[in-house]
Amino acid sequence: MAAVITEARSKEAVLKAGALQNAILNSANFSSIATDEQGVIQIFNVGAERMLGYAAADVLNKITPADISDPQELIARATALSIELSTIITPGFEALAFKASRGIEDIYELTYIRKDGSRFPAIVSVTALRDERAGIIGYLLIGTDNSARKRAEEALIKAGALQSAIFNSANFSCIATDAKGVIQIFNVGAERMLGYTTAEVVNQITPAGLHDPQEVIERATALSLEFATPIAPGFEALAFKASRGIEDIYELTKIRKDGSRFPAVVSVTALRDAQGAIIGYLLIGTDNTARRKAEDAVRQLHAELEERVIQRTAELEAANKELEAFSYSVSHDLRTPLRAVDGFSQTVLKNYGPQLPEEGRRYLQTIRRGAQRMGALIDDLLAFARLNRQELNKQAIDTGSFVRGALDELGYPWPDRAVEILIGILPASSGDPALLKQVWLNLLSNALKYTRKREKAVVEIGCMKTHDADTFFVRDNGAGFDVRYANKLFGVFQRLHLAEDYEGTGVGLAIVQRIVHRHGGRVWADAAVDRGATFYFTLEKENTS
Amino acid sequence: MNETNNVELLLVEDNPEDLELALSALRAAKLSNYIHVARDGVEALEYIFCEGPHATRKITDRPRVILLDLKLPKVDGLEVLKRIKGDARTRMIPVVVLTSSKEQSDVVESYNLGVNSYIVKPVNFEQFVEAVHNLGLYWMLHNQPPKLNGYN
Repeated sequence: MAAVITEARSKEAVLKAGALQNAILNSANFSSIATDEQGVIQIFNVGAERMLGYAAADVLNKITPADISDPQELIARATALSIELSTIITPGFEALAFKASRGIEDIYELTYIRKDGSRFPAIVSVTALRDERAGIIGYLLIGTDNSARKRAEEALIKAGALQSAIFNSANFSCIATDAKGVIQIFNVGAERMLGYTTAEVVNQITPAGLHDPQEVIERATALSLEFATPIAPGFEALAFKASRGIEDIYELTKIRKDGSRFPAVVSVTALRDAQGAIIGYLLIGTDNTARRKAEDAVRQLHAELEERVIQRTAELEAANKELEAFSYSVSHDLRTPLRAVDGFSQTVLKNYGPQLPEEGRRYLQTIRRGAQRMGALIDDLLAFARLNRQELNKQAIDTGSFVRGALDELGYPWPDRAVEILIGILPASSGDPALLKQVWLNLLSNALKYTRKREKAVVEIGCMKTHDADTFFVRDNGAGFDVRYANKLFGVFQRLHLAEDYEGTGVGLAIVQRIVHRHGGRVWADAAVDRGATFYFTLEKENTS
Repeated sequence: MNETNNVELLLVEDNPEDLELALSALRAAKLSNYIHVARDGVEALEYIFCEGPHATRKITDRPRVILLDLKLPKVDGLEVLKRIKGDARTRMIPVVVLTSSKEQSDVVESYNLGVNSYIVKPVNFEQFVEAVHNLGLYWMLHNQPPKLNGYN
């Protein structure tokens, strides 16, 4: 109060105050500024000090409220008032007090500027202070900080914009009902989707009338069971969950005015008043046709794919059966004539050999060799063809004893030959024992075969790591081969040596490769002509990443 | 040996060359006496079960061994085998499948049906003779047929 009372004359003239006035003046939430008739500030209460950052002493008898108002706004207000009242009003204090001076109630919004230069929106009410003879002796400007309300208003505007954007969206049907379900609001989206005009539905029907009745009945039945309470197959079926405060999104078929149907996804929310009582429901729906179509397309694609797989599998099975029938027939029928060729050649040799010239006997021997070789080719080819049909029976294998067994089978230790066998450390492997036996027998018999012309054959069997995989190898010091032809090595009937030099059908390594591949491994070779060969294989996938 | 049991070996073979070679091999193994030849599955069954042209034969006069090809006209070898092993009167007769086929399915099925031996005819004639010789020795000379009574 001490700051307020600076001049006894002003105080007396302005304040005819009672307790109420005092209360207003002392309120920290209202800025109360009183001026003389010229606008020069005479009273500047605590609310004004707090709001504007000035001390009363800073402003009393020094400035007018126009000096703490946004100058731009003052100009705008002066201009507007000049036009409104058809008289020239200067953009100073006059612009703030003119209406009040004319006895017009005046509440306006303008921006106040604090001592530190910051700004805030204020609502200001201006009243003229008059003496007993109604002469103006000053003005009272009561202002409130409007920031919070402004913010709330902006938020409201934003929320409203969002709401109206949603509500006016043509892509969502927004249907609001009263508590009984009778439609009250039917937005453009709903009109567009369902083909009804607002007038046709509002206060006429409930949203249940827009749904497939059968589905509504089903839903009512299902909900009755779920909640153990009878639920009528009408609007209640749509809104029951929402009425219980349960979030509810469902898919139902909606029926347009023209009777056509479409799948819709609908979200239902209860609308409540301030006390929480339900005053209606809001149903927001989207047309699910596009998604359904996409889903159907995916389903159809899937079905087609499955169909194709089934078809391919059947084709493959048929091809496999055919192949089986083929090899069965080959197995039975192709060897019979060969037996006749060989058998009767032998019979001729035995019974009539002495009567034949030497050359004739040699020819017969050649015929027999040909027949026998063809028999061997057929056998190997059938064995090769069988590999794909045979099921893999994987087991843990003690590679060391496995290899020794294979060597025994091949006639180890070959007393009529000088063969040195070197066996390194062989880790256990996993595979089909019958098939892997063929791998080892083929590789080892090759090593023995191609070292036959060596004074001392050396066959080394070992294991190393390539790309984290156990890699077994069989190395010999035999005839070797030109690595340029290594790609031919594993083909069926492919041979890199003459039959006169080294016998064979050319199927062994093809069998090896197929077995190794079936185990998920790899086989390859390294060699040089006349300097031996090494065959490597893995039985597992290598880590090549 | 039963006096009426003249036939010791039933050879079921349709292919004339194979038949001749088989007979030649049996001759070489000195097993050519008392051989009856059936040229297809029906003939074989008629002989074994004493039907048709063999109606006068007694079913108790069992051959000591049957050499059976698998791929036969009319009724195939596996069916013949099934009938032999499925009948108490003939079940005891040793049956040796003698065939070209090494097909696993044939081998497995033959053993399932109770075949006594399964031999693949080799292309090489000496080996063929050897095989016939061995099986002849085993089934005709070493193998003691069971004494059967009560099946008349």
